[in-house]
Amino acid sequence: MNPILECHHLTKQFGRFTALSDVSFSLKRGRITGLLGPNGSGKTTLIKLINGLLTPTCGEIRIDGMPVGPETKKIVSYLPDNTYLPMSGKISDIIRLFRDFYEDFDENRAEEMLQALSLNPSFRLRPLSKGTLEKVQLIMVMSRRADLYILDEPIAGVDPAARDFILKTILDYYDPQASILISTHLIADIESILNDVIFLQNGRILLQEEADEIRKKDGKSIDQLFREVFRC
Amino acid sequence: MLGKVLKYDIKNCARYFIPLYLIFAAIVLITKLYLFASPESETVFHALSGLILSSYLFSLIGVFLLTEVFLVVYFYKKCISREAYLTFTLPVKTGTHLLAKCLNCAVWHLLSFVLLFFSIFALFSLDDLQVTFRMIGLLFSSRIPIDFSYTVVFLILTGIVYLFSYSLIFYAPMAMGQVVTRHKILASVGIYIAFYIIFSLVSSFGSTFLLIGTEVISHGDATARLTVLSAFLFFLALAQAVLYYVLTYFFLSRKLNLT
Repeated sequence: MNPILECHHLTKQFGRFTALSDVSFSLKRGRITGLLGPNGSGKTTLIKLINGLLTPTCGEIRIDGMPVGPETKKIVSYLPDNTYLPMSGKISDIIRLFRDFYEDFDENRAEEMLQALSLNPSFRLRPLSKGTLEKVQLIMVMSRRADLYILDEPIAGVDPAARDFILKTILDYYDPQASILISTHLIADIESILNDVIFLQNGRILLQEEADEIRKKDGKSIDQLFREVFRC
Repeated sequence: MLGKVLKYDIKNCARYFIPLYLIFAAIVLITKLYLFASPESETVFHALSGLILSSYLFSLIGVFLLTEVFLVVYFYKKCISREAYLTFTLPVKTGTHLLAKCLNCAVWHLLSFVLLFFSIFALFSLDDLQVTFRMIGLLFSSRIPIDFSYTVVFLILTGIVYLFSYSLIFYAPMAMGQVVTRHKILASVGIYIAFYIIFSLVSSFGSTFLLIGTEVISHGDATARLTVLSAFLFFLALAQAVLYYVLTYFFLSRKLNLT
C-alpha cells in the first residue's frame, strides 16, 4: 500500500532564514510516528506545510497520493500547537462546525469524551483554562475518523495528569488503520506509544527509524538517544 | 460548501452587527419621538433638535464606518490571525472562502443601506421627501438640460460592484502583507496606501482626460460628459474589484504564510 504521507525535497525559507532544507521522508499507514527535535528544529514548520498553512519554497508534499488541498484536508485531522478555536462561542458551536464541515466527524464520540471531562457543550470557550481548551481541541480532532492525525506538541504546557489523559485519548480513539504524526520534545512521555521516529535538527532530518530498531541497535531508549544527539 | 461557509460568516458577523443596528434603530426612534413631540413654539426644543439631528447623522456615519471596521477585523481574524488555522484546515477551497467573505460583505453593506433608507423614511414624511426631490430635480433641469438616465444606470452598477467588493480594498493588502515574515500589519498598511495613491491618480487623470476629450468631441454636451464620467468610474470600480479579488485569492491560496 502507498504511504499515507510523502515529502520530497521539501524546503521552506523565511527571507534569508532556512527553516527546512531538502527534507524527504514518507510515513507508512497504521503507524504512530514521533517527529522529534529541539525547539526551533522545524517541526511546526513541517507540520504547517503538510496542512497547507504554509507554502513550500520548493519540494512536494503528497497525502494519500494527492497534493495538499481540500481533498487531503478531508482525511487529515490536525491539532495545532496553539488554540485556534473561535473564543466567542460555546463548545456546542465547535461541535456543530466540525459536524458541518467534516464528514468523518463522530459527534457521539465527541460528546462522550466531553462528558468524561465533565465539560458541558453549553460551556462558553472564553472562561476555560488553557489546559481545558487544549483538551477540547484534542477531543474535536480525535473525534474525526481521519486517515492521518497530525498532533503538534499535544502535551507541551500541560500538567502531568492532563498529559496522561491526552495520551490515553489518542490511543483509545484513534483508528488502528490510521496513522499518527506527533511532534514533541517531551520524549519520555510518548516514547512507549511510538512505532517510528524522525529526528529533526536545524531543518534537516538526522534520523528516520523504527523505535524498536533504535532500542535494539543502540541499547538505549529514544529519550536517551535524543539527549545524546541533541546535547547542547 | 459555499453555503455552509457563508452561513457561518453571516452568523459570526451578526453577533456584532445586530446590536449595532439595534442601537441605531433606537437612536432613530428617539429622534423621531423628539421631533414628533417637540412643540413648534418652544425655542429650547428647537435648539435641542439640532443636537438630536446631529446625533442621528453621526450615528448614521458610525454605522457605515463600523460596518467596514467589523468586516475588515473579521477577515483578519478568520484569514490572517489565529483562527486562520481553523479556516484553512477546513476542506474548503480558498476561492470558496473568499467568495463567501465577499457575499458576506454584500449582505452587511446592503443591510446598512436598508437601515439608511429606513431611518430617512422613519424621520421624514413622504410629502417632505417628495418636495425635496422635486426641488433638486428643478434645480438641475432649469440650469443645465441633462439626461441623467445613463448616469443613474452606471451609478447603480457601480454601487452593486462596491456592495460586493468594497472590503476587498482592505482584504488584498492584508493578504499580500501576510507574506512578509515580520511587520505584517505595517506591510499591509503600506500596500493599502500604495494602492490608494495609484487608483486615486488613475481616477483623477482618467476623469480629467475623458472630460476634456468628451468636451471636444461632443461640443460641450453635458449629458455626454456625465455619461462618460460615470461609465469610466464604473469600469474603474470593476477593474479594481477584479484586481483586488485576484490578488487576494492568489496570495491566500499560493502564498499563505501563517506564522
